[in-house]
Amino acid sequence: MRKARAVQTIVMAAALSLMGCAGYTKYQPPRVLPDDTQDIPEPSPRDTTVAQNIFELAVVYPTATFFDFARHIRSLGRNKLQALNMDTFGGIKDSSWFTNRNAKKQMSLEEIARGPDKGAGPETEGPWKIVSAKVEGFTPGFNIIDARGDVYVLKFDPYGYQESSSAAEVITGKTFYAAGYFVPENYIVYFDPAILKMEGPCMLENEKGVRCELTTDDFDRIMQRVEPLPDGRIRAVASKFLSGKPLGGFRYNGRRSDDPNDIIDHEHRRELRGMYVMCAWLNHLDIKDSNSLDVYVEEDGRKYIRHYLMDFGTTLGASPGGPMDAFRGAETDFDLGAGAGNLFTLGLDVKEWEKAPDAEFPSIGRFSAMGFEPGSTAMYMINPAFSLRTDQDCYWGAKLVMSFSNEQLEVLVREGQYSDPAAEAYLLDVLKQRRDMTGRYWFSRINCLDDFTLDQLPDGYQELRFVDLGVAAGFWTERETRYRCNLRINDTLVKENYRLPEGNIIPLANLQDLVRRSDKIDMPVKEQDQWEVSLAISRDFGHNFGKWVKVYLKQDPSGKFRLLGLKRQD
Amino acid sequence: MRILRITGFVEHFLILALVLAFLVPPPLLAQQARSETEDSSGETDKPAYPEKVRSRAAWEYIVNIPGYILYLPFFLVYSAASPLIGWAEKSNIVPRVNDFLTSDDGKRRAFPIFETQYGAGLGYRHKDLLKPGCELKVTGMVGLWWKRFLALEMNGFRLAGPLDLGLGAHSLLLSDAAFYGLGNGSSKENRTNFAHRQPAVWASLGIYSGKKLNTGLVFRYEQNSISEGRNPNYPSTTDWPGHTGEPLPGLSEKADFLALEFNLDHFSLFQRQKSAGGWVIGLKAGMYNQLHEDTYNFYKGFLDVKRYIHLFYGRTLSLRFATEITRPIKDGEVPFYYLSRLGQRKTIRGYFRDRFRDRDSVLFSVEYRYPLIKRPAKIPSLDALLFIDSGKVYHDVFAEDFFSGFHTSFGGGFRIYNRQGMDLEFYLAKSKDGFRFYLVWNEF
Repeated sequence: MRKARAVQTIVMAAALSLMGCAGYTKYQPPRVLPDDTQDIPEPSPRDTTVAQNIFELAVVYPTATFFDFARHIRSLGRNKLQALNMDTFGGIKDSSWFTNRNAKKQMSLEEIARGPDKGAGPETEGPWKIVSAKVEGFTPGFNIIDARGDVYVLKFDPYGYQESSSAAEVITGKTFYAAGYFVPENYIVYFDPAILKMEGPCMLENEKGVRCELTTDDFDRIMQRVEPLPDGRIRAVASKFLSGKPLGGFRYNGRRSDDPNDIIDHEHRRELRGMYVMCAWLNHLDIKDSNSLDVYVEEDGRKYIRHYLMDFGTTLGASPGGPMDAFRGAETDFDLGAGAGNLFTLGLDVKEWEKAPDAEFPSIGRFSAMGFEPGSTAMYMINPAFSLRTDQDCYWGAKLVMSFSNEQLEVLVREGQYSDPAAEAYLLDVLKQRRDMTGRYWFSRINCLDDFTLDQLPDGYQELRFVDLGVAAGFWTERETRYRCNLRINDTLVKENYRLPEGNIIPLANLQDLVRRSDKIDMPVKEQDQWEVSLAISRDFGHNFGKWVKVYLKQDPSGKFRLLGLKRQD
Repeated sequence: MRILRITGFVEHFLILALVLAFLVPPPLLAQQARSETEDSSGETDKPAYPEKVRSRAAWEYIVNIPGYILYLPFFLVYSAASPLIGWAEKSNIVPRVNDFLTSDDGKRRAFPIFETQYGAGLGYRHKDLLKPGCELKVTGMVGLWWKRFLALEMNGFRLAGPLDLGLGAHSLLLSDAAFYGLGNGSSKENRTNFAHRQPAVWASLGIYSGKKLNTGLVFRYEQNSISEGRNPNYPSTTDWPGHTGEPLPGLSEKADFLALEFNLDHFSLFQRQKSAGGWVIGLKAGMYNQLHEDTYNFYKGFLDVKRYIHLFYGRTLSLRFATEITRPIKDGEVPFYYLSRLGQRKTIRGYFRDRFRDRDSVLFSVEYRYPLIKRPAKIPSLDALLFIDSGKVYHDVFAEDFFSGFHTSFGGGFRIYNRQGMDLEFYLAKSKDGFRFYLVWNEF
């Protein structure tokens, strides 16, 4: 009896908390976050191995999530916690994680092509001094110092699949950079293997993960696994060492204990949650701590941690062993959910990926728009930030994806330096298709009215303008699209289902007129009153309307409106 | 004590929960909790850093209290496991052990094995030992009641032309082998156990006409001795004829045999990434003559036909028919341990091992295998399988009613494997005897 009462109390507390989330609440703008590039003392490097990270993601995190009852209650109540670092319009401010670039202002084609690169890559005349080598995994690699003294990681394409990994590394890296993330400089290089010099002792991490001294035999053995070009040169990707002190990969949950600037749990950062959409688009599925890097950098006299994404060689259709495996994107590494499904269907349900044909272009690998599902692309393993993503996070991510124009994509693909024009054209086509599938998917899941502005008209009136991203992208036509709005002042619903006569413009005089004619509210409207314009879209000539976006306005003493912020229905 | 009496279990539970909630970092906020502790450890001369953004409401902490408690054992295990995993990776212990067990060229390899009949042990394989194609296999397994199986085998030593030589020896001690009586109607309540010791040496001469068809002659010398079983849970078979009153041929005796066997094998099984199929056919005929005495002389014939049909996208149906015939030569007898047996993993699963014994046996089996998780390379794949086994033993298959009295079982199982050689299978089978569970690791 007592036990039942205790359980009852807990459930009621949870239910009341959830109920508190419903109903009318006055719009409260999100907390303005401080600049996270403040000077901090030097943190110590994070000492987590790849295996520990995999253990954490594959075992610890799922168990912890299972016992996180509050999270289950939130999911059941469709009250997922939104990202904690968004601004009043659902975006995020520039930080040590992300800089608003292409989605904020279209980058020029030159800027897109340049990406994060500050120079022209390593001096290919040589000599390149080998510092260390790695043959673990499928593809070998070297750390080298070029004639200018810059340090690079030299990575090669898998044998038989020339251009695949190196092109993916550069294209995806530059795309992520243009989207706003921090990435290292990656250069495709063609060089004579004779410029590689072994001077002094250098360490080798062999196939079995054992570290030993690199011998000439080892070097020859490594080079045998690298496919040369017909002219004897070698194509590789040179990834420049980042300036600053590397501190290990960042986690996708929790915070760095030694970074005072790190005030938000990473799983609640919009740029990490929304990155899912970018990753799905570009087939960047191997998202784990070790494919990221925290670097203690110095800028304008301040020292702080900047968070980089790394290692894009296993993206698009490429993987270290050749084409990406067919199941990638559809299932995680050891997907028990999919396995359970197969168990009960007795394997009679053949998955699309099982029918996937072999890669058409060895230089591209397995990458197509067929079977691409923007909302359910599976990563290699569970990612805490991705697993907490909401539609709003993905909408934000989709805006990043949709910000890339055809011309920009063309430039990006050209940066991959494919020797086969047909392969290049294929990749460009797939990227465009997947981009559009991504946009269409997420823009239909959430109200995609955006870029709200208040325009001052010459006659002194104001109008609220917005952009329908779905129409702008060409997914739906203006003809089939209708908008309607509800107007609420404070908690009083003044007007319901008001069809907008002029498409994506709301003359505020019209709203004021509605208020004047309404008997639901006492006139005059006070200055401190909050106006809530709730807009919904119909894509079928006004028969059915979807989710809302609420725009909040306030009048100043002169009667002029100003935008407070907005909320979207998830 | 008084307080304990006044308050009930629920109160204790809640108090404990509250205490733990403050002591144990919440599952998902472990990192956060650490961060805040360290942040607040406070260096006052440092500039004031921004306040952390809380990601949870108060009710979430309260609702999660039972979760924290339930998670606590996992938390402790994981906390201990994580540094170990880190150490294992940094010290390269796994690649080092692998390096120790496997040669660089992949020709030599040692690996763990487990089979419920014999126990656990190690297998070692050396390919191209003396000549290309020549393979050495060493197996050592030990199980409960000191049962053991030690074997040394070398195959494929090319003599001349298509003629191959094979040599081998094994020492087997099955200390709790089961005997339920003779005939198709033996009862599981009559289980007795005996110890079967069998050292053997053999030599084979094979002729290989092609990759799919092999034939050969095997000369085998075997010593058999039957003694009291070591499993104290069952009566010893040496107490026989407790059940029937008739002496059991071969019981409590030592018998040396010289056998000559003829083998003909057809193997056309193909396994590709997306499909598998083909035939595996084995035909064996052998004569067994007792040395020094003339009590036991018999011959055996054995046919095993397996047809693997690839259905679609890695789903495979396998059909199997097997039959074994044992006949005495002239006035000879067949020792009970050489009779045809049914009831084990490779015959009718779900029945106890060697549950039915008689001169002849017939077995049918249908098995459907389908992938649950299909992965290339290093990542393990997981297959599921469903099967129906049916079999019968006969004193004379040609004289008795062939169809009546079949013992049927059914079940399912899983197989986890990867291309690096890991192979773990487990089945659960149901028969009239009840449920039986089988575990096989790297069958050799």
